[in-house]
Amino acid sequence: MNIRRFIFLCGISLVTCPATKIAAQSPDSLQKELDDVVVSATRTTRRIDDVPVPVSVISGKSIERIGSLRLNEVLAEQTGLQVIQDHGSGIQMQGLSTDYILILIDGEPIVGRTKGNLDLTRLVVGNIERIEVVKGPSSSLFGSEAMGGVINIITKKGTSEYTGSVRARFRKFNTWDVTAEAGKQEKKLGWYVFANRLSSDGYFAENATSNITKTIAPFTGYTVNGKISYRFTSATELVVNTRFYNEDQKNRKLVTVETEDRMIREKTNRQDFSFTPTLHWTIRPGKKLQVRNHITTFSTRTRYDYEDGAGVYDDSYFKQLFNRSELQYDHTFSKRHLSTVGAGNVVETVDATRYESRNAFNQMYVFGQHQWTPLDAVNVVAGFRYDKHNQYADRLTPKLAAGWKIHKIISIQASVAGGYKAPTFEQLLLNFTNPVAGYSVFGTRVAEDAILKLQQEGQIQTILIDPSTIGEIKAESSLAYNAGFRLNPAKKMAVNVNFFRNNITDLIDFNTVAIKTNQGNIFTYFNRHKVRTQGIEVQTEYCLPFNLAVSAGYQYLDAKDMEVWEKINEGKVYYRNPETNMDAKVLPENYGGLYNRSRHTGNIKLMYDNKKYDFDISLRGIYRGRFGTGADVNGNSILDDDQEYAAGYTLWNVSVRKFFPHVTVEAGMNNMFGAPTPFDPTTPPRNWYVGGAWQFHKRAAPAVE
Amino acid sequence: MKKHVLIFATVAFAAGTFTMTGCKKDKEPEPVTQNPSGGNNNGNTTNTPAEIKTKISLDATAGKVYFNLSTGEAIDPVNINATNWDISFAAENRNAAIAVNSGTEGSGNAAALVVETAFDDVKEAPADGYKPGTEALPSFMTWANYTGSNSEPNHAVLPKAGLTIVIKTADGKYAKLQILSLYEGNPNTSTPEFADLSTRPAFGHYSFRYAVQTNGSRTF
Repeated sequence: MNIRRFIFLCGISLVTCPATKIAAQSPDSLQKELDDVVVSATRTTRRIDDVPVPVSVISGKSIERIGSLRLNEVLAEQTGLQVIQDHGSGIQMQGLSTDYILILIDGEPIVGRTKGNLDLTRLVVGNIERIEVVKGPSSSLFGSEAMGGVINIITKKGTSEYTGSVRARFRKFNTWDVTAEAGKQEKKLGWYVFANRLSSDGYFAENATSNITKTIAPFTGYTVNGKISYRFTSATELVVNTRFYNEDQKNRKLVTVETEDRMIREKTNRQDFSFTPTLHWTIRPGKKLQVRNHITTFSTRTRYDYEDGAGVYDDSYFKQLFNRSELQYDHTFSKRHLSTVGAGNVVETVDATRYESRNAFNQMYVFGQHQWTPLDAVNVVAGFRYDKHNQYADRLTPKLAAGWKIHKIISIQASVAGGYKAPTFEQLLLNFTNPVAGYSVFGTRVAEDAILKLQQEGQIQTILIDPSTIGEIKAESSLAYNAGFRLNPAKKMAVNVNFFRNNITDLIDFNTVAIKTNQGNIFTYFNRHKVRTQGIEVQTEYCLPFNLAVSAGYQYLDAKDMEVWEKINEGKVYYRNPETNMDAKVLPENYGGLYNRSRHTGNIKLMYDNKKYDFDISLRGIYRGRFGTGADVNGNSILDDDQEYAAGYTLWNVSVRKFFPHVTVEAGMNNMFGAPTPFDPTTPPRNWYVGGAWQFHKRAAPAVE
Repeated sequence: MKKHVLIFATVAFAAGTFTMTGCKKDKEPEPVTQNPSGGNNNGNTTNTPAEIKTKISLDATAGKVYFNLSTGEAIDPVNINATNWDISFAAENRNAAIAVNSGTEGSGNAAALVVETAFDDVKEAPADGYKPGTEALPSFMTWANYTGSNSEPNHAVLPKAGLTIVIKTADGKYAKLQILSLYEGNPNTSTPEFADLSTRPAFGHYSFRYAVQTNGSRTF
């Protein structure tokens, strides 16, 4: 396993660094090959450069190298991915926010979103084999939520050797991360187990307004992941994957109850569980059938108690159950033709304090895809998916992609794809009032009744939008274009460029419909006219002498509300000069577009491997350009003034590892120069970590593949 | 940096426009309040342009104030009647209300309408769509933003940009009105003094610009 440090994978392993060549002759060469294939882009195992859509791979080894504990930390360092904070740590891709990014574990969705955001801190990273990131819509394969892209986490499985490790990391704020894993693949039986405990005392952010409520609450989380596989015959294999996660958080808050200040204690528990059996059957060579069922649950419970023992201040829960049954058949006609067809059924229920009753959704779908290789250098992928949902109109989502390897040094690719996202439970059915801040959010189906009820109770001060006009919201849909090229001008150099444009219509957003007598706003959801995101992503890698490798990534993003943009161009949008209180027209060049999108983001990474003294160093600089915070200083509720932006910043992270036989020690520092990140409390000022791991492996007879 | 240049360019351009406008209309009584982006309103009409006036800090802290747009005077509540006031202003505890003399608010026939165009660009009053009493402005949230605790300056009521209240006065004339500020002295709201609640000027003082077309036409 010592050889692992020689395998350098900077994101996509397009560059073959000299060190990797050594690895290629080692038993780990299989590993190397595995890192070069992706399954998420076409639902079939393909070499990364045979896939004509923008896809990148983050290897488990590169995750290990940077000392990451949770998924948000890993994704934050990738080109074209932006971690954003909105009811948890979410991801933004091609300017589309976390609601539009489907996150999968081994191809199966993770559920439990808060305000559309799937909190990435729920996912520890020690059991990750690799992460596949597909940019642009994949709704033709995965349906709703895959409008912006797909992040598929491929977990580890047993290897032919009996291997395992025990690892501990300690970070600032009394953060402890302890992991144990082991696995083995026998001739018929394979197994892998992973257990992790992660806890922290939490902390107050530098700009925290409270000295009572910690910005990051103290927490203790446990993750257990088990995988077992059995080959009944050489053609059939059953794989059962299961995951359990439990986290407890606690915090304190000061609230005002009837003009009296009271201390309350907050306790939050969240759990998720999944159980996924999959049967793989190779009917004949090239004819594969997969039958799988994924059942997963997510639940949270938040309880606020008065510290003086006067009872419960608030108690709420959320329970979601998701069951998906799916069938997929891959048929290889010849070297040049591969068809995939599939069908599935989803049952989803939600039961929560915030909903009036238990609600159930049901969905059926079929999908089909054909991969055609008319010439060795050309490949075409066409696919569709048809969704039938009990709450919305049927949908057909197509996709077409093509790639051409023109020459050894250049290949091009382009795709056009539809995407859609159905309204969520929240957007339809939410009935929530924040006990502390006093605002309310209602789903469109319950808004009218809820507002009328509040009105009868005398709690409404003003109605801004007539509640009877709040109609059904439609599914959001998009049409996206991606086009790019890969260059390998030299063996040690790779350049990847992708242009993208997403035209989104009927975007769902919330808006104030009424104001309560306590000054709290009442929100509900509306289809907004049109949004466009477009940009360019560039990723380059270069191997330098002395086992030094450098990579750089950059994304330019332009994300606009097209309705606002058209009005600005017609000269119909004004701003108020706060100095004179006079109005003037907003000039097109001053429109900053959608909030929370940085026009410029990028990263630079330097990796050094020292073979003589068995250590490695990685230094990463992650830049996020300025972005709109949602503040409005000039009375027009759009982003057009310098003061409405948060300043850009660069995080510098460094990690060092030293290897001994079976033992690795590591240390690192994140945000070395203490860049202030007031809108990302999960990125603390300068913080360090130390850690150690002990690996064991027993050689066995090579497993029969 | 680019933005600064643009702002500079905007200001420079606006200043140029302003100078030109000033030259053309040397009878403007209060050129200081003329919005630079207004441009000229030649060609639309042979009417005399409506005179633009500015009222600074009309004090509504002691109770609702009734205002006559034609005379530019506030009327003592005990003396109000169907024709001697057009618009009323009220304010208390971060809440504000504007009404016209009709419906539930008065015995007159005044009416109002909010248009999404900045004051200077409102060249003509809409022909219809006017509503009585409080109906055109049911809440201050329709013409102002409450910044709350998330947006700087905190807990301030700031008028929205690019909105103009078009009014049919009690005596049947058309007028347009822009709320400038609800704080005493029409202050700069970007200063630390304004951000600090302890030094912020008093709430409930209405500053506004308005113009009444005295010849009865809808053209300003």
